[in-house]
Amino acid sequence: MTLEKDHMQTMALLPWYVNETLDGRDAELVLRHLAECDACRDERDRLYQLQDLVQETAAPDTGYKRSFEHVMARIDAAERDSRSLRDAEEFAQRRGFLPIGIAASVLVAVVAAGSFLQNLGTADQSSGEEYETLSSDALTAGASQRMELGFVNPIPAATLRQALIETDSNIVSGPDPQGNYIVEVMVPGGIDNADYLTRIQKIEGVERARFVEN
Amino acid sequence: MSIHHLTTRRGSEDAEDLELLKRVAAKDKVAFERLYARFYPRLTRYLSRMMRRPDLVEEVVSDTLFVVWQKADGFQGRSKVSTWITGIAYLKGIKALDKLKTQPEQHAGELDDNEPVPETHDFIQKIGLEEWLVSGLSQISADQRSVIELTYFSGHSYQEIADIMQCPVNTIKTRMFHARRRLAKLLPVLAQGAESSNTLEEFLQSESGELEK
Repeated sequence: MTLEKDHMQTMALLPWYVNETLDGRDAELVLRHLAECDACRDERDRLYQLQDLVQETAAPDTGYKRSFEHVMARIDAAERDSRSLRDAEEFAQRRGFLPIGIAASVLVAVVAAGSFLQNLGTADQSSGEEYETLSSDALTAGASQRMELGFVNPIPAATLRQALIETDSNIVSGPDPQGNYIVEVMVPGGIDNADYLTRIQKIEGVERARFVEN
Repeated sequence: MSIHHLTTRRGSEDAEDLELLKRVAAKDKVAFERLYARFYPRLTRYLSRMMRRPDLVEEVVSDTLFVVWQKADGFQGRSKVSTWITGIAYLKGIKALDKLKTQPEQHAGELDDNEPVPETHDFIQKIGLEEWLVSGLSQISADQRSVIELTYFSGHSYQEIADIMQCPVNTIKTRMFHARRRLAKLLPVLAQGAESSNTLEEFLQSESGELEK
């Protein structure tokens, strides 16, 4: 019975005997059993062949630079967005007007959502896949424009902070005495201004939105 | 414990990785590039083999290393740095595959070892062993491919693989068993071992009390 159990344990452990990561009692058991079992020695030899084969297969292209630069762009964008939000909140707190701080959060969320809409407008429609990642590709089309945004009062507290990581948009100034902000947005190519404005105005919390001159 | 107080006795490679990760946790971008250059090839290789979707691999690798940048200060030293990073890559890769609803990835539990597989011996002679392996790996699950790759290419222990894939060690052994058995039906040099190991599954089940393919 013990021999049969040792045989089964050895069979299960052989892949890690072959890759030389067994230690302690596992290694002792396998070595002892291999000395007395032809079947396990044969299986070990077959697994060595499998390991050789796996290790011989070609590695893909491994140039990391382009990928690294892409990730650094995401990191830089995330840091800029984080600073924008922090600055807006600090500004609002200095003025002792908390709802404006919340407005700033919603504002940045609006900008983020605008950017999201833009990505929808420019996405490659041919793939048909639902795969998505944290990545956001660099903006390749569209025009930078300024927009004045005002918010309902009281402002809904819900924000899309996570979307900040995905965007690269900036608050230009604000709030003015009426609580309006000027932001810079990238209107995607292929979407006209009126349509874009309509989408922004549908976002909860937005009361006023209009394009202004740069 | 803060990452900055961690030390390692897991070899010089892990010590170098840990030093880089500490600097990454302090937002040192030069260290991040070095860590990136170090891990990009191996993650690309691992995910290419596991996912079999070259169009997605680069994005999953960059997502993985983006998470490393964000979460480096949360590393607690319970495993090697490479195990921790590969674990992130595994989860990202599986999540990406799960999102491909138009082409669902077959999971280990859905595969049937008794299902007939294509007769490939003649084919092997024509295309060579490397192509055979690619073909053979396409007929096992992503989880099984992951175990094969992490064992035979990356050289991880079964405990490390269990850490990476966040499951019990007997699940890893069972996945390896099924991968071996299925590959054995396709590769002549492995064929003799396939039938003799039929009772291994029962043994693994009795050891762990689980039934997972």
